[in-house]
Amino acid sequence: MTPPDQVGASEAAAPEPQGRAAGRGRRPDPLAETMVEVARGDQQAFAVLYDALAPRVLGMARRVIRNHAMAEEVAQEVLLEVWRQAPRYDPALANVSTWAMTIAHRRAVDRVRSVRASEDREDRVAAGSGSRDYDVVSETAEQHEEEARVRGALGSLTALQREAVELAYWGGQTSTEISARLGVPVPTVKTRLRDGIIRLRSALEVST
Amino acid sequence: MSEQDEAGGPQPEVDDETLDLYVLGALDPDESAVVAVAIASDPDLAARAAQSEEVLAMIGSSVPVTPPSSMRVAVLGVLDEVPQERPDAPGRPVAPEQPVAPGDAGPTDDPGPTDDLAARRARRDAVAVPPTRRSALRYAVAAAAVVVAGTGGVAAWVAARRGQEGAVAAARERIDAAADVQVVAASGATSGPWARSELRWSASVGEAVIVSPDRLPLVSDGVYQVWRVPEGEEVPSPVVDFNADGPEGPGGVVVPGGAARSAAIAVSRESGPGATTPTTPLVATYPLST
Repeated sequence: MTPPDQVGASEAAAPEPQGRAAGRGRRPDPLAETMVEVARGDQQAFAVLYDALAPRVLGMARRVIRNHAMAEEVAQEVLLEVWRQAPRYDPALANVSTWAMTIAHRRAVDRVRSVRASEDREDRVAAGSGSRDYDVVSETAEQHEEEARVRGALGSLTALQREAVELAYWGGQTSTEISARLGVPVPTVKTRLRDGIIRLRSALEVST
Repeated sequence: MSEQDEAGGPQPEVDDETLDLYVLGALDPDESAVVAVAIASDPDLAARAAQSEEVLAMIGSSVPVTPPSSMRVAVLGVLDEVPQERPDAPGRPVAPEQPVAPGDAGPTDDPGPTDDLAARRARRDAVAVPPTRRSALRYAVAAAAVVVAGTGGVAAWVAARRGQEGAVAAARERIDAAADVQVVAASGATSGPWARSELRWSASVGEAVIVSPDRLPLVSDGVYQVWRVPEGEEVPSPVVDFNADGPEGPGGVVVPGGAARSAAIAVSRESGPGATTPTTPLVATYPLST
């Protein structure tokens, strides 16, 4: 099989997987064909998928979980979960990256909450921090463009919206916890989160 | 959304705000459980959730980190032992109150069909053009199952399959690469491998391992139990038990949680797992000066 050069780098040229819908108006998924092979149990294809997804999955895990060892453990679990569930993945609902990152986020938040429930995790949660204090991957031009796009989208939020969204998404905090942290009513937090997602959706041009 | 699920039970209304908060992970656990179940039975709801997930996945993808090569080896090296799910596996009812026990992934853990590539391909082809409703349902159930699995299921499986030896080696590599690595020699043991053992740990990495240049004696009638004495306390707490994962004695063990904020790490031999206090003299103690 032919590995994609870089995730997202060859989107325009990527053919759609045979026999399966590629989603509702989304751009062609550069990992779609690879995923079809992975779903058939092709380990070489999974190696390609691993190389495409692992940096993002680990980056997500480290941003949510400060402990590097724990983040790496979670990333491994997520990637094996991708392998395990590959035959059930359906491109009609999400591209491969979205699917994997959704799994990654839920697993990372779940781990953070588990740790939070059992021990002092004062420095484990990257709540509200906009800094990147680890070895970021060398960025391709495409990745740089994507990151700039995300920065722009986050920049479209008000400070209060961004604070709430980051506490929820990167910090793994519920609206109730955010309310207590910020000293504002829960409905206010929910409104900020909701408005924040609407703005992000608009800025990132995801159809509604 | 539909007012009844596929089993005919009533379903609560899930508005857009609640759905977005669910995707963000901002709902309280009980609220989240309700939405997860609703999504699993409502393809339209699942499709709406997927739109917000796409937004957040883009944000989550924006901070890539180069994984260590050991991670690639660890993941790709165990694929033969991780059965893939069946494409037509029925979605099981999921709720956060139903944690997945280690090694129990329900019907999806059945390794039989996954051994047969042709059979898997046939099953996959059978659902090559799935009805939207079934597609959404499968997606939702799969996504919800991840929430339920939490740190059990695959996590426990990974830890077991990766092997004690590999875990120790990988942790030691990370610790030794840290600028604040500390090595503490064993005290209390007078001879043998335990006397030559050491605790290696790093506060910045958040990990600790007990290692020995020689294999530690195999415990044939019990386990080794690692203890932590927290700072300012005298009573040790059990951390993890271990023994060999092969015919030879263990080469070491990862100390979960690391060694930070501890006055000492210690090891005893116990008749079995589950000891809450040392019942035999300690075979090694690693005093920490923090």
